[in-house]
Amino acid sequence: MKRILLYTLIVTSVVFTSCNKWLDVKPAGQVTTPDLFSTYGGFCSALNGCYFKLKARDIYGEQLTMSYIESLAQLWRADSYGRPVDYELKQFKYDSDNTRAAFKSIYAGLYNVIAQANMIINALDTYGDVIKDPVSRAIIEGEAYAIRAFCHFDILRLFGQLPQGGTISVSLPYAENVSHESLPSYYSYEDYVAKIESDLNKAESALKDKDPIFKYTYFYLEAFEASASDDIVLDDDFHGYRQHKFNYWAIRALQARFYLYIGKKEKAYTIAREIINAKGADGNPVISLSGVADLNAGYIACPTESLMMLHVYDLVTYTPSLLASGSIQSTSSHLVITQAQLNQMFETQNIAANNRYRSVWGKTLTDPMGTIYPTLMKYYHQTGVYTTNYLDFNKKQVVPLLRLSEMYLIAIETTNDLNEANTLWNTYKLSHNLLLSGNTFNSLDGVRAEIVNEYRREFFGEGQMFYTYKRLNSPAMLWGSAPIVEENYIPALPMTEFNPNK
Amino acid sequence: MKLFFRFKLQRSSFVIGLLMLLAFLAAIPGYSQTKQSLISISLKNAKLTQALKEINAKTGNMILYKVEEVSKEPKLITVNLKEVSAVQALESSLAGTGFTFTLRGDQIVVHSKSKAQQPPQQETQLLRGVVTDISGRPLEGIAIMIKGTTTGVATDERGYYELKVPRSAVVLYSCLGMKSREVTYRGQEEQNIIMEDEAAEVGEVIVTGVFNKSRESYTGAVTTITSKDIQAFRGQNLLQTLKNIDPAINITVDNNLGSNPNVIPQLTIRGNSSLPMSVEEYNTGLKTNVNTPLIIMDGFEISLTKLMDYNDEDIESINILKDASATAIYGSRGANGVIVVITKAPKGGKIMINAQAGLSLEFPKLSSYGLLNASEILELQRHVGLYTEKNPAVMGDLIDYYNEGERAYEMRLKDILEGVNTDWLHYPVRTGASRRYNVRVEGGSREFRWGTNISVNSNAGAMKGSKRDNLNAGFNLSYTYGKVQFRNILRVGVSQGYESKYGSFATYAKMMPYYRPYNKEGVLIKDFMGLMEKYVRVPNPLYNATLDSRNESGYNDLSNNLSIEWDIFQDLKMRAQLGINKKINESDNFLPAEHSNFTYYSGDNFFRKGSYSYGIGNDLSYEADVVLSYSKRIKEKHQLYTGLNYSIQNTNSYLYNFIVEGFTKGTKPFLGNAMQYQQNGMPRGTESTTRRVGVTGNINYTYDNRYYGDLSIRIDGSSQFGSKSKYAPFWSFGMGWNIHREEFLKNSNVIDNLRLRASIGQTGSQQFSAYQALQMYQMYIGDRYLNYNGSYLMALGNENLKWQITDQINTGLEIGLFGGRVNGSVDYYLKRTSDLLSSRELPLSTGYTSYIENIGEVKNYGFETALNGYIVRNTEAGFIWMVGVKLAYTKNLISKLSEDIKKQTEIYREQNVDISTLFYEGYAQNSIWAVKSLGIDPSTGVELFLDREGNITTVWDPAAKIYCGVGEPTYRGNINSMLRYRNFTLNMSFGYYWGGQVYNQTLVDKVEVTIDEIGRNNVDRRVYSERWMNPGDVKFYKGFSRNATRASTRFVMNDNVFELQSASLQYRLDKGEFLRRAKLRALTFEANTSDIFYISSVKRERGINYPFAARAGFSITLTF
Repeated sequence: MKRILLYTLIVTSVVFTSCNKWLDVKPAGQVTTPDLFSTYGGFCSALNGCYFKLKARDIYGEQLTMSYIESLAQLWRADSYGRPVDYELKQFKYDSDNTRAAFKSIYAGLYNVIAQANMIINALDTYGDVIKDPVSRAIIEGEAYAIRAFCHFDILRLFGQLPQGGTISVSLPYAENVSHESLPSYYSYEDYVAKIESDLNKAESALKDKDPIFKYTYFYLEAFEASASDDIVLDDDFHGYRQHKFNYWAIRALQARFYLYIGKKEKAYTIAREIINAKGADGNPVISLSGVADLNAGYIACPTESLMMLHVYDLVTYTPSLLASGSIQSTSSHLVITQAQLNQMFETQNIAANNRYRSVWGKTLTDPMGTIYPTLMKYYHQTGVYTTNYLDFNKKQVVPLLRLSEMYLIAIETTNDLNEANTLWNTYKLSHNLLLSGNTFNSLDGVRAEIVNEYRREFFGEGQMFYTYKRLNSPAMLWGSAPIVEENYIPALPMTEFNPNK
Repeated sequence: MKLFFRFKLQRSSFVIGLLMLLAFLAAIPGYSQTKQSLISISLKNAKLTQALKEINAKTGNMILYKVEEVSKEPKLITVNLKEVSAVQALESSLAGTGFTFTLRGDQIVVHSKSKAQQPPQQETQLLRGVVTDISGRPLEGIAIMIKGTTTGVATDERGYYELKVPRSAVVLYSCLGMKSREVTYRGQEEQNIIMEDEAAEVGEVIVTGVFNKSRESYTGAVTTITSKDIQAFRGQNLLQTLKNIDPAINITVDNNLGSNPNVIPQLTIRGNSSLPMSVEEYNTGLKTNVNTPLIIMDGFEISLTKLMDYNDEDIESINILKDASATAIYGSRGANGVIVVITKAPKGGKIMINAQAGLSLEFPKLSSYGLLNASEILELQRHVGLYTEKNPAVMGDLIDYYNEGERAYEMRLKDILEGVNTDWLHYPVRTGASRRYNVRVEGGSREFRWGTNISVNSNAGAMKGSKRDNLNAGFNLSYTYGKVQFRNILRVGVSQGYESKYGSFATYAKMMPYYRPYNKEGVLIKDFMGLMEKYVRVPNPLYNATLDSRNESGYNDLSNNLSIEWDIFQDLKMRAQLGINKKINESDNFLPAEHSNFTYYSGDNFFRKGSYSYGIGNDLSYEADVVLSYSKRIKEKHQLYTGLNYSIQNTNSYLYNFIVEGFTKGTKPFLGNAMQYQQNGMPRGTESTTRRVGVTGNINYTYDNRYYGDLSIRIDGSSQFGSKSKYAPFWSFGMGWNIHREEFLKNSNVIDNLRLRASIGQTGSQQFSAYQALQMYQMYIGDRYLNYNGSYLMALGNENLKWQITDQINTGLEIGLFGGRVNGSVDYYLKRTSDLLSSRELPLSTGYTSYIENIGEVKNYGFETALNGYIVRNTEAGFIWMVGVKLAYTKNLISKLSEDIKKQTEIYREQNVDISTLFYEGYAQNSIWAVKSLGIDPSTGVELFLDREGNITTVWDPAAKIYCGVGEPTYRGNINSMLRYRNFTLNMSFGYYWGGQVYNQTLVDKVEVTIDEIGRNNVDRRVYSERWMNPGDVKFYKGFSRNATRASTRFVMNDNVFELQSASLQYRLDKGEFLRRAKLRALTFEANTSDIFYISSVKRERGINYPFAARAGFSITLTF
């Protein structure tokens, strides 16, 4: 009897210990974290996931590029019925339910991308050995750090204190872990900036000389799959499409933007010039302003000169009703401007020639009275047109995040040499189909004043204007009704946020 | 003489009563007490009559004597005896008196010594009879012996026997595996005997699904329901039947769903011990079945749906395990209570056929509807100004184009004068005729027994076309080889539910009676003109019902359970079981192109008309367990039982769903006929795999049948919980005391059963999604980046996630009085569920809003009490009336909540939502929150509210909501009555509940409606009589206005109900010439009704989307 009980106990304990594995059930539709990162493909999938998240409408798919962020910069005409959130954002009503919800979704969206990047960064330490190819590893590591820096930088630009001339200081959380146990710590402006700088450096050094862009040109890396006749063959398709990912030059461009924002103009200048001067694998400039070619080909968002652009395949399922087509009523959910505003924006420009005026702004949308409301065509392309050109869509279905134009503007703004400024300005203008005559500056101050207007013209609908005003602590915004005070530049963090260190 | 007569009647009635009522009474605890043969007696100088009376009292009236004779005895008697037999006691008492005694079987006759002793009558007579089992089936091979001799016979295949018996002999009926019976022969010619199975005797042994325990030493709280109970209190389905019997089972009454046969009700035992994950989810009606009890059939887990669809004729008994002591053996699954179903096992013997056919009718109950007729609603519409005022939204030249008020009024008035007064409510309903057939065949030898049954049950609802068809078939084999018994049960179930094509019943209640559904030629009208705008059309709901649409879902399942029982040696037994279950679910929802949903599909969408939604799922589960049990009696007084169980379970399921569209007119409802997939649609699917292992140990020790203790420990491992706590222990400890076995009660004539028990323990609950604890990546579906796919982290996992723990305390008292005439029990319990799974908010900077953690605590406490007794128990006349009353009290309160849920609650409270359930610590889970109303201001006719600061206001502010009661009755009970006269049995079950509140939505939807609502929908007649009209009117309902009524305490009402849940009349014929000629063994007629009457303190429309129905049925059962 006792023996039987004993045997039973022994058998049960043996069965139990072997059960642990059996109880580890893996779902079919999902993958557990260790399983995902047990392969190189899993790392690629997780990194791609970051781009899926970035193109979400909550953030760069719409609200941080086309709608809310531009309303903060007073760029859109928005009425309280059709676009209540934009309307309240224009009033800087940061305590209303609408704006709180909007900022919450932006904030949550950015930190969610950061969490995805952090998962990859942390997984590289533990499981990184499964990635054998050093180029692939550099891509994964560099891009993950770049994404983390990029999102944190926009958190800083949107929610942080004024980079200069402010009186309010704001601490912000910098997330490096994904856990409910160790919550992100808050950092002062200086420490936060240092964190971003460090991540940018990590991204840069990871990709330096390893990024496929050092071996191939952007053009080839975009075309390797579409044109079979090309003699270029990538062993790994993950190495392609560098313009749609945070490649080495995008990281450099982000550094230039970052240094400009925090006021380190020399560094910004050096990097911007480096990008402008950089030579590609074929000996030609690695990237060049190509506004004319792009706009004539119907690539309104200037993909050719984009150092980083998001591919949003379903862009035109939502942009027409948001920006570009349909009909305008007295209350409308469209984001448009008036003809007068458009004219004002291009006041100093030769609108007959300026291809931004001519191509980027549609002028066919009217209200029932026949009044024309100019529409932004950057995110619009004709659907239903049959095309075999796969590349075509990679250029049309995009939201640019970093463009060479910005590098030119940074260089022009940060140079201490008026001649250099004028030279760069002329090159820049040429890409806008503008004649060179009469477009030069007399002083560096004049350069800087015009740069602000050029940011508005060039990056309309790309979410840069509010940050430009904020960087300059501008007391007024074009089309804004009231003087801008410091509080207007600093939206409150969502109410759910708290500083775990306090 | 008087005394003598009385006791004779008692004796014989006891025997006959036992024979006839055994099956019925077996369920009542304490009834089947065996008389103790040893007595103690202590007398000093007592008269002989007194002594004999005393002995009689302690032996259960064993002694016969004549009072007149004995009272003449002068000697005073002094005896002091402990634990002696009646004979010994009598010997001592009669010593020195003029009396002596003679044994006659188990009776003792005291007579005078001087009287010449009659020689015992030794002449023999012929005794014959039939031996059957409880269900009336003849038993073959029963040994019938005269006690103390070797004379005996065995029954034949008909259970018949003949035996020559000397007068005053004791006849012993015995058979291996059955309880032996002894009967004193008193010269009767016929003696029919009912014998019971030794092991499977319902009520004596508690089948917990893991171990089988004797009720005498069971410390758990359990309700046993027998097949007879099920027959007697049958409701619309088995779940309703259970509720009719035990009020501790709570089925949430859903006023919207009425008596829809396809709705699986929410069933709970002893309150809700889990919280949903979020407040909003709870309020939007996505109430998950987190509180559903575990259901075990023959040792294997089944779903609630399966239990509802199962053939109740195949059920032998159901045990409802309620407290920790009873459910701890189910560890992580036991917290919500356990329903253990035991199906009928074949008994062997000659082939027996039991056939049953039944018909029942469902009548819709529409009496709660008091709608206006055509002229009344038209007049009301005119009265509130709907036909005269202009639509303010339409301006300018178009005003006359859109407003045709006066013309519409004239037109309708003309129709009404022509006699149009459509009673829309009667179009979608019918008297549903349900049929049920059940055939059961069984037989075999003692070693090899088989049984098979098949039942078809077509349950037609009260709405046209609504029905649920169930087919259940089972094949049961058992083979005994020496000490090993094999048993295999194969079951097939097919269930299909059909929804009515008529759609929601609410649509018909809203239709205006001045619309005529058919034109004068009898052709169906497709739609009607809206109130007064030509271009607003009201679709005729009867139109869609004429189309060839389909809305059905069903499943097929196949299960096989194999068990092997091995009596290793005397006290050690082993049982191994293996069960496999495969289930395929399918759902079809087809809407043809002509359906009104597609009326506005034009242009590009024209060929998208018609849609078909198809779902298919597959479940496969296997379960195995081994039980080792050892029981031993040591030195008479110590009884030890130990049991060890190891079980393992794996369940795998998936479900796919997709929609196709584009069925041109007249296309058959076949998936292949679709033109395309749904626009922008894609296939969807869910998948889950859960695994579980568990080891249970149980020790039960009984001392002298008086004191007993019970300890259960279970260690459970499950795939559903965090990797750091894959295993969890559960336990229970119980104690009991059989007070009736104590010295001081042993000989009591009044109390024959008194038992006190108490238990404490911990169990868990597992009703959560399969992958709750895992940190997982999800691949993007229907999206791409360039030509890449990607995946994202779904949520923060919590590897520390644990089981919810439910602590339970239960104390119970059982009492039986007057030889089983009265039985009662009371149980008090306290359940505290801690570590409730709940989402916890995170700062967004983590990238996520929340994660799942073990926070929160819910308490449930209450009592359950039952009392039943025989008002009449005249077994000789065959007249029995038994009444039972049951009452259950449940109090639920949330004792701890996560900060996240608290925040959600605050946010939800302030939302512009009318009636809401809010979660606050200290309040019940389903409490009702509404704004305090001060009634209708008689001068203005508007409602006055109390705001948050306590000021009177006319503004309804959602944040001012206050607690106004629990949406669930706190007291629930039933009254059951069983009346039997000869072959007739009448059973009735009344149900009642009180102590809860209800928000009377019908008053808002049908009485206090806005003016616009009157233009759109028909309303209750109270709109006419009970609404405020003129200043000074003191009315309950506010004046007519365009503002909708908001949720206020005015509509929160006490919900007290008394209803007749079921009534049945049975006539059973088991002997007689007719049966013999028809070669039948028994014939039973049964008529039953359910939900006949209903009295409620709340006057409201009952059955909004589906009407409630009353049932009346008839069945006939033939046993060959």
